[in-house]
Amino acid sequence: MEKDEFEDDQEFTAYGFLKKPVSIDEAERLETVTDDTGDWPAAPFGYLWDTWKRFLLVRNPDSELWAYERPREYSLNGEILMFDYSRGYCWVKNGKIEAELAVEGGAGYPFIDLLSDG
Amino acid sequence: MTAQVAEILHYDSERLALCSTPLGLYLANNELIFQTRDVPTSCWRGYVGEWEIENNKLYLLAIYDSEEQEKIEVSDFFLGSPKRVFAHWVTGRLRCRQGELIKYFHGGFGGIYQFDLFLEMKRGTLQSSFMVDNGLSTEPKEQH
Repeated sequence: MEKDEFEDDQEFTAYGFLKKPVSIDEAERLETVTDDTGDWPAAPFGYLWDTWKRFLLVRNPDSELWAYERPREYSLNGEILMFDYSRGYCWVKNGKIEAELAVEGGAGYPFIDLLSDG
Repeated sequence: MTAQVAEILHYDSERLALCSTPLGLYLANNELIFQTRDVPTSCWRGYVGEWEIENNKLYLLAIYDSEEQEKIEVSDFFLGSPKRVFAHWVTGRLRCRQGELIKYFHGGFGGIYQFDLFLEMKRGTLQSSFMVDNGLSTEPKEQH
């Protein structure tokens, strides 16, 4: 989808970075966490399983699940922008993002706090 | 904003100051906020996480209050009550400051130190690392 289709959605991280629609089953298959320690539950989304289940509950009728991915750096109007990498899922209805869930990211852009107030 | 207290990272037999907050995504997803008492301006997030990288995987070991006085077991926060938590959601570049402070910055993790160790993570697993010399160092720092 093109960025202009989401003018009202700019509060969402996923705004402008939707990749493709996915089914719930496909998302759960893709997000299976594997490791050899067995320290965490063998469920899709690992420790985010409960969060995922809550995300499924906020779905509105006819909403469609989309995957999104925002790179750490990208170019907009010739300007290089840097953010925390983020990947996850959105509920999209009639071209509008209604809710989103980040499942990957969290490292932060190392110097982002330079931009903070104070 | 005052300069913020770093997280703790055990890596390569060293205790490092981690200038990233990998727990943030998990807390935001679960609408969890650490505001148990007066939070000092040096730790607006209200907690300090203790992490380790073992076999290239990033684990959360413990969470401390903002003054690192009280320890909160991670088993209280995570499904399955694990002793440590594999941070499988962490992707991106973690930054660890090292050496002497070269330039203070009154906010966030913006202070400049002699060296920055950057750790490239993908889904909680260390992919690569590199060291940046920010200048004024008097002795060589081994590259990882």
